[in-house]
Amino acid sequence: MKKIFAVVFVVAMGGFASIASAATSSGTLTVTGTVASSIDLTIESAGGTTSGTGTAAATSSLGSISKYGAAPTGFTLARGASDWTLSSNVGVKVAKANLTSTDYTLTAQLGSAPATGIVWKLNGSTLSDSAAATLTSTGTYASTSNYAWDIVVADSAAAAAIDNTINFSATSN
Amino acid sequence: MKRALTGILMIAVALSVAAAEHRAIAVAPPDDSLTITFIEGDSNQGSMIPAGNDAWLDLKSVKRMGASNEKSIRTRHRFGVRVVRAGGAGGSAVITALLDSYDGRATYRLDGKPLTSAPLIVDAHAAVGTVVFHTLDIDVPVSIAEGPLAASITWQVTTD
Repeated sequence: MKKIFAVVFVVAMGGFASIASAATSSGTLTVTGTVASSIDLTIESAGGTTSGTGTAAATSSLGSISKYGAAPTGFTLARGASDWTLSSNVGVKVAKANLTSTDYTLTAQLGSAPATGIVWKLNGSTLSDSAAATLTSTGTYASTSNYAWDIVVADSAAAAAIDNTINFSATSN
Repeated sequence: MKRALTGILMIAVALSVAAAEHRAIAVAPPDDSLTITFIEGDSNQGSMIPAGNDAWLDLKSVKRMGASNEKSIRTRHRFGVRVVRAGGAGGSAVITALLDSYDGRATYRLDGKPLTSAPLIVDAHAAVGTVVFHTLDIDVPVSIAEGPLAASITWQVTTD
């Protein structure tokens, strides 16, 4: 008897429950985009009093330089018979993102013609403002590579500013 | 005795069904159907186009712009979600979201919680009719190859 009344109760409640159902709805947020590859060049270090290292636009100040004076910070000075050379290094890092390339080519070019009697060299190559010099064609990504940086000053060069810009360019291979 | 009880049971069932039918006929159930809508908010990249219950978030071109030591590219999108009940009734609803289709090339976090193929409770008590803003972070690893990116996030709302 008890069992049967219990069944009656459940059936009756079922009748109510079927009326009070929850409402539902759905929507879709579709996400699309295109991942583009990129490389990023930064100047990590350089001789002189530097600023902006770790970015793509660093500045190096050598102060006043002379054959018989002290070498600027981070440089060595070698005196020759008719010229003198300031030597240091420039550290360049190239990182890649979303790129399958395994190495890169790095070139350098002066931003303007050097003053008469001044020669700029990187990795042994003389730089000019008319053509880019290749520093490496097998650069390793995400690793800082140091390139020898020499400034050769002829004894005959006029006492004047030697300011210039070295433009680096990295291209993925 | 058994027959009598069986009879009582049958009558109870019949009454229950009849009562339900009677209620359905006499008082039409209110239309409490729900809709979900998306409202564009702030994004640091791309654009969102709402369309009915759906929306399309186009990231456009995703490219690393920051420091080279970052392991992923993050885009952040803030958008609103509103649950509307037919007839303007109030109340609250449970909102869930899940990654429905997914190319595996990025990770998605909604309000800081990772989105997966399992439903994530976005809001356990969302007030119906009110816009609530959420933040979707999409992280694209720099290690993946360039190319298209696609995912579909399904949102479900259920009244309490």
